Amino acid sequence: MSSPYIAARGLGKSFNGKPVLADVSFEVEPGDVVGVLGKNGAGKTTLLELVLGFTPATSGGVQLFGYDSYRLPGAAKARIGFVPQQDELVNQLTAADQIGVIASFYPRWDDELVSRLSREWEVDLHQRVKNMSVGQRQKLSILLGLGHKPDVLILDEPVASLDPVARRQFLEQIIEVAADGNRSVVFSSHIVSDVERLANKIWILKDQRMYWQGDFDSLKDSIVRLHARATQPLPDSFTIPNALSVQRNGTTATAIVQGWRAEMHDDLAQQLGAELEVEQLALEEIFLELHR
Amino acid sequence: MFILKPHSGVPIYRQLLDQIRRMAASGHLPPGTELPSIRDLALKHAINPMTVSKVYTLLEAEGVLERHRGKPMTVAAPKRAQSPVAKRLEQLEPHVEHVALAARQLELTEKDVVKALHDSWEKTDEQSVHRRTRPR
Amino acid sequence: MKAIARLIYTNFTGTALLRFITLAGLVAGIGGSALYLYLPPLVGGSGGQSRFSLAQEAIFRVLPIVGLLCFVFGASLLPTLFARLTTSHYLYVLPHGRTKLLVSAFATVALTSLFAAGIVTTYYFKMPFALDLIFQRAFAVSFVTASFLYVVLWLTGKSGTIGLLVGSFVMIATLVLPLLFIATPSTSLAIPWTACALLWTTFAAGFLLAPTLKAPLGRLRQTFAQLTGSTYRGGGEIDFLIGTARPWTLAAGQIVPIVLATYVMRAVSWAPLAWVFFLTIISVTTGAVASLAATRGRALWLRARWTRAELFRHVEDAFLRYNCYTLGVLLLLLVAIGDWLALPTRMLAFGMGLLALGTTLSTYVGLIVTARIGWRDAALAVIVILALMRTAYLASWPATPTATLVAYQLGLAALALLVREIARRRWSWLDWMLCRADTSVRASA
Repeated sequence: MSSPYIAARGLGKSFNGKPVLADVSFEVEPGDVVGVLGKNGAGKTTLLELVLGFTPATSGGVQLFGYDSYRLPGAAKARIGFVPQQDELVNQLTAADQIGVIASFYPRWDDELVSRLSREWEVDLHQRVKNMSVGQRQKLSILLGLGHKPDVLILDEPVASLDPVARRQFLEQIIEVAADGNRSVVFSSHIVSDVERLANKIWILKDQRMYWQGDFDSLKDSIVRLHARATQPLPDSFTIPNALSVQRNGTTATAIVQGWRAEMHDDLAQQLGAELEVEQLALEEIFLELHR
Repeated sequence: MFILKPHSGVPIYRQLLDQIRRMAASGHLPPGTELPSIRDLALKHAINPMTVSKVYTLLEAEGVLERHRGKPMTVAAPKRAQSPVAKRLEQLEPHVEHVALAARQLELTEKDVVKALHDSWEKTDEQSVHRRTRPR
Repeated sequence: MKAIARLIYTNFTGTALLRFITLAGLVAGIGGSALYLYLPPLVGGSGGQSRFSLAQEAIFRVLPIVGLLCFVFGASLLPTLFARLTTSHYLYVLPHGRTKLLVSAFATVALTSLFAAGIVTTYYFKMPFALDLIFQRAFAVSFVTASFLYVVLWLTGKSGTIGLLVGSFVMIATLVLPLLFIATPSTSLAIPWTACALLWTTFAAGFLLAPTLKAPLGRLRQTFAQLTGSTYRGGGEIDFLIGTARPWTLAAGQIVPIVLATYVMRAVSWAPLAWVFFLTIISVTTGAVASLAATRGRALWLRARWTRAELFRHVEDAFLRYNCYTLGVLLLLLVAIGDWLALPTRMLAFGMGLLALGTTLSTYVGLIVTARIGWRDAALAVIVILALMRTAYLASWPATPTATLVAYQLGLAALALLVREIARRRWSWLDWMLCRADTSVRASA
């Protein structure tokens, strides 16, 4: 197993004494597609900015390709790509010039890829940035992050302003990147359905901490909705272990349970004296339940 | 070729796994059929290629698929004789459970269920297996 | 290297207009200098024989300088590009981004200075001066001036295109200085070179160390904002949304450049005219803030129960209130420094009128900007500034009859009323689809 591209230990950031992120640890391996979820203000952007070395950590540290991210050397920077949440384009330039300026910083730049994608995504390279719509600008920002074929691609809400067609085109491009096997993608998004398709690892940030992280498939297996049906009204002392929430209604109850394993089914059914049905949840529902 | 629903509660990898298994077992994917490359399948369904890779690897380990160097994965010849009944019953189990639960909800007896199953068994034959498993 | 070259290239050719100006500048500058060099000596009406008419000779004399100005303006994307890249995340992510950007800025300024030095030297070609000394002096002075000028362009450019126009005129005004400096060969080269070195070392150090300095600077900025920040007073909504909520910042901010300029002018080459020019230019900077009023007004219009006509009157009031502060400080400085320097009373008196007119006129010109700036608006802005310049020139010339001065100022007042009427009409049918806010413009309190 090759060493991880990104590694963080006890990462924390405070701003003016207020903690924005606390005690976060993770690893990103080559080939991972990590989806970062969290409510607004949970610390997603801060986390990404810490990874890229924009700002120093207050506690702990994070490393990119083995280097402390705050002091990333120039050659390593050529291996990372970043798409910011709000575009940072120069209004006066044409798209082609904007690309040219950014491209000139990198030793390798795939002109063919960028021109092909700009055609497919309908970004007019001869248009001035200030005349572009928000969606066009966002697409251009994404192109700027892809052109040098970075090993690590970090995107902060990259598709917030894109229509569904553009989003799907973007997804397909991320899949191309992931299919390479040696490149990683970390992206934060509110569009949970996109994350659901793409991510193989999920980080959920809640209250400035890493609330859940790990393999996406195990997240889906681990958090389930239980429907319990008993023949007698359920007792008041009715409890379900590891339940995040329980709702009782006479002889039935619904509970969101964390850490579920298939083996637990029979024992629990017996314990409760009820029939259990296990419902697996879509990512958006998992997210909502975790924040209830 | 497959129907995948990324937003259902069932993880994508499991959906794909089950579908390939069933289609290989039913003969809808005859032995030797080439499966799409990881990249192509991922792009077509807009899912993570690692998921596809995981499924292919699992199925290769199970013997359902065969890997060839430099060529796409193919469906392996069925070694049904070697796969014990118990194992195949395990695959059927979720469906059986579902039937049992539904029957109880409808307050039917075990005999009713067995009869219904028998009728259904009679109706199905080789051809209708293929017709039902063909994606719409 | 690729990046540095690309950045320099983009500085000069980033927009179609700039590309044209740079090219025109190169052609005029080089062509004009060549003409000047290879033609028989121009005698300029001093009685000698000449093949050319006076007008033609004037053109030949001025062409290289015009070319130089064009070339310098041609790189006016430098401050914008520099500022935009600096405030973006890209600077952290691009390999050696910070260093390359800095070097490209330095190289661009050096290029324009070389061009300037070359052109200035050609003027001395036929004279008995040591040309390499002239070149060095010209280069050193141009370098400092150009650096300063691009900073000015950046500061004024942040306030939209009118600000850019204003900044350009500041450049013209201050270009007078170095040419005067070069003309007196006795002054040593040490001053400009030291100034150069100091300026750029400080800037480079600050720029490269900015990531480490970000935290303490951020705290400083916060404290400053808390001290000078505007607190919300009921009824002050207009000011917040239009950008006139902090008049004291601009008013106080004027003091430093004026005092500095006065000191430098006194030390190097004193000319009351240049000083009055300078003050007039400073008075025109309010126009830059006003030029954004229309785009910002959209937020105001959504929230208040006013018609567009009423909106205009309220915005106008806000600006007239705002101008009271800036004008007040300017007048104070004019009278105080003018008195201390024993400038003629008449000049001061008319100077006061001039500054008041400058502030008012520029505000109304700014308010005219209700759509993309067309050539008509730009022409009007240029006319206004030229008219102000002309009046300033006349006011500092003792021989001008008072009646003429009064007439000029009345004329300017009439011009102000005219411009106001244009602005009022335009605001009554403001179309906010045409004056969309630039995404980099944020309403500042």
